[in-house]
Amino acid sequence: MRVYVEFLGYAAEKVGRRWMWLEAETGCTLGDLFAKHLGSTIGAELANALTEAFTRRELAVAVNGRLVDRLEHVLEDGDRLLVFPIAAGGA
Amino acid sequence: MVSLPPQRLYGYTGRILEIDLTHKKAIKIETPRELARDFIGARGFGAKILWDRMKPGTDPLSPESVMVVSWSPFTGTSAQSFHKVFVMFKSPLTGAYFRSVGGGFFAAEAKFAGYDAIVITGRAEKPTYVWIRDDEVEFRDATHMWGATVDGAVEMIRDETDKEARALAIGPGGERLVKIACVVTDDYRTPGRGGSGAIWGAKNLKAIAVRGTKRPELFKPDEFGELVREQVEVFKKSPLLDPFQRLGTNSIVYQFYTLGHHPTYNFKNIELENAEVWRPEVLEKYIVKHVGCFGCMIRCGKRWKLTKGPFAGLYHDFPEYETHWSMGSTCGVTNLEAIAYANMLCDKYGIDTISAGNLVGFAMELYEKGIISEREADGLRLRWGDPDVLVELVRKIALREGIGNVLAEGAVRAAEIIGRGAEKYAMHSKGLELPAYDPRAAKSHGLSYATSNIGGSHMIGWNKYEILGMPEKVDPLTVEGKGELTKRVQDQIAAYEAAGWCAFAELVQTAGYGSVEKTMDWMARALYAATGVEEFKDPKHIWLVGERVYNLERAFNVREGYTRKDDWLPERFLREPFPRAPAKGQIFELDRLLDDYYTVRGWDLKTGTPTRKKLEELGLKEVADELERLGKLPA
Ligand code: SF4
Repeated sequence: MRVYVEFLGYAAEKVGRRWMWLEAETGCTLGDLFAKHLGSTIGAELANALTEAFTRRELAVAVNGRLVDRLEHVLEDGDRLLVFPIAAGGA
Repeated sequence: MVSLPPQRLYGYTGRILEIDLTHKKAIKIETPRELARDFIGARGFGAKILWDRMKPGTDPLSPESVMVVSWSPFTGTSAQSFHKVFVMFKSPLTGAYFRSVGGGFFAAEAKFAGYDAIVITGRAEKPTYVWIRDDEVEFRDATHMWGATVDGAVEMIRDETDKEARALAIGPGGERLVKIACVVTDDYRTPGRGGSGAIWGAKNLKAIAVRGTKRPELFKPDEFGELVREQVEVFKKSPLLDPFQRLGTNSIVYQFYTLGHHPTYNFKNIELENAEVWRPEVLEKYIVKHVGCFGCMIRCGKRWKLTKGPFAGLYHDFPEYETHWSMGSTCGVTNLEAIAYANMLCDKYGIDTISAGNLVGFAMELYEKGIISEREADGLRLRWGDPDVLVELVRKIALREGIGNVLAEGAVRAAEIIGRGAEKYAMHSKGLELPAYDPRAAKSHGLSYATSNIGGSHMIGWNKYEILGMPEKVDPLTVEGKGELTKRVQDQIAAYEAAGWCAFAELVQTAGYGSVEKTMDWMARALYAATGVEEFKDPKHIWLVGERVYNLERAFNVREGYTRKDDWLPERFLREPFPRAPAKGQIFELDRLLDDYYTVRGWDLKTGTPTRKKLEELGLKEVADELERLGKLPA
């Protein structure tokens, strides 16, 4: 299956790209995607750093516009991921 | 409530200034200790003073109308971001209770002049500004500056008083009694919503300028200093600090659009082409300077400079998240330069950017549906996405010109004047134009729109759980438990706003602690160290003040005749399924959510009114008595 990953803010700066498609096996979790598939594209070190930032809740991930808070979240073919530094707004 | 023996109130100045414009009199009243203990300050003072002083049925634009401008015991101290200016009044736009929050330096300066709040009453005979220098209060002629934009008036006042004076002023919008006009701070960190500017216009009050030389005295200065150091450390480790410092509220425009907020085309919410203009890296390019309010290390304010396009040369306060939406998405406009220009017009003319943009989107939909014609729109073709139409309509609203004169009445009244079914497209709650979130995409947030005592506001119950998944994630699309969540969020906000805090700073601190409880505990400790008010030691007391303020604001509206039927949202949200991801197919389940909410609040299900039991539990027995006298207390 394929998923689309879009990066914003410092995530985009670090990765050096705004978006990419990643191939993954059926049943792949968010954690697997970061560790294996993102790691083989942008390097394991950076992929790890992003995973840790997600675990520390500094980085947010939305899958098809819905916030996901677990690395165990199972992805599906065609999912659209948005990876962004957690930030807030209001006024 | 039980009155207390006189005892020194630290942190407070101990005085409230009452400005009677009719008689050009300035009266200084001692700040009652019970008022401090039971309502803390800022929004709490406003709610209590308005309840005590405003007779039900008072016309907000009459001399009898009272406005409270206030801050808190933290204001002017080293505590981070507690220096906001709160403006409470009965809204000429909605007819209900109102509170609006601004930033900048006015509140700290007014505290340094020796006041805990300013209460404004009466009507000046001719245009007037009030100049406060410590104990001296002067009523000065403002005829020569009447008609000037806010920045023009501030410049004249500073020339005539003190170059360092801090001011709140109105522009041509307020003078013309535009119902969405606001009182503007000298640095545009404005309490924008609800029509405060029209009240000043009706009172012939152009501005209040202030300079102060005193400093608040603290109960336990060393302990307080320690607590502020703790606060700064928590800010520094908060994941929200960096995005706020870099981009302010512009850090999340694009993300929120993706998460189903940032509604498009007057809440039709179909996909907006070109939404990528709101990616943070695009918005960041316009920033040339970072600015902030008094005593805040976050400095979330930004100055933008435009170098190309028809609005090149603009250098002004940036459009906030909400303004990108109101001047942008809801009108289908993705031209950032036009958005920045329209934002600047609102600031200078002194009108609310949220309501103004909402009204432009409303007019565009009426034009699309054939309800208003090009002729009725002064020859303008009100097509979605047209940046020139946006700018021209904003100007017309501020100056009450042509179609702008109709829109200047606000969505409800404008729809009545236009007729032909226009009310179906007026996106408001209790007459306050809705801001940049869709109730269908975040149910607790939507419930707060519907039940808010000030009408369709995002800041009365900004739901970090649903919108940011913080400090714990709550599914925004479910309805279960949303009554409880809404109450909790509304009460917490009322509590920290009684302490004069900035909502952004609360988010930064709570994200740093990872817990709302820790934030509220910190606030209780700091309030006690600042004031010496024994009750403040207990965080439960602080939460209780929040609930008390919320219920008192509710009681104000009940006294004005508001009931469950006013806790309402437009039909679009109740019947039209949300058309795009991630909330595709969602509608807003109003009745079910209201029942849940009233139950949790301890309010009467039929009328949405607090019961005697609830009011007494909150120490508001006299409020229950008055509602009973008026026949408005549920049996
Ligand atoms: S976070 Fe922004 S709005 Fe709040 S006090 Fe600081 S500078 Fe002002």
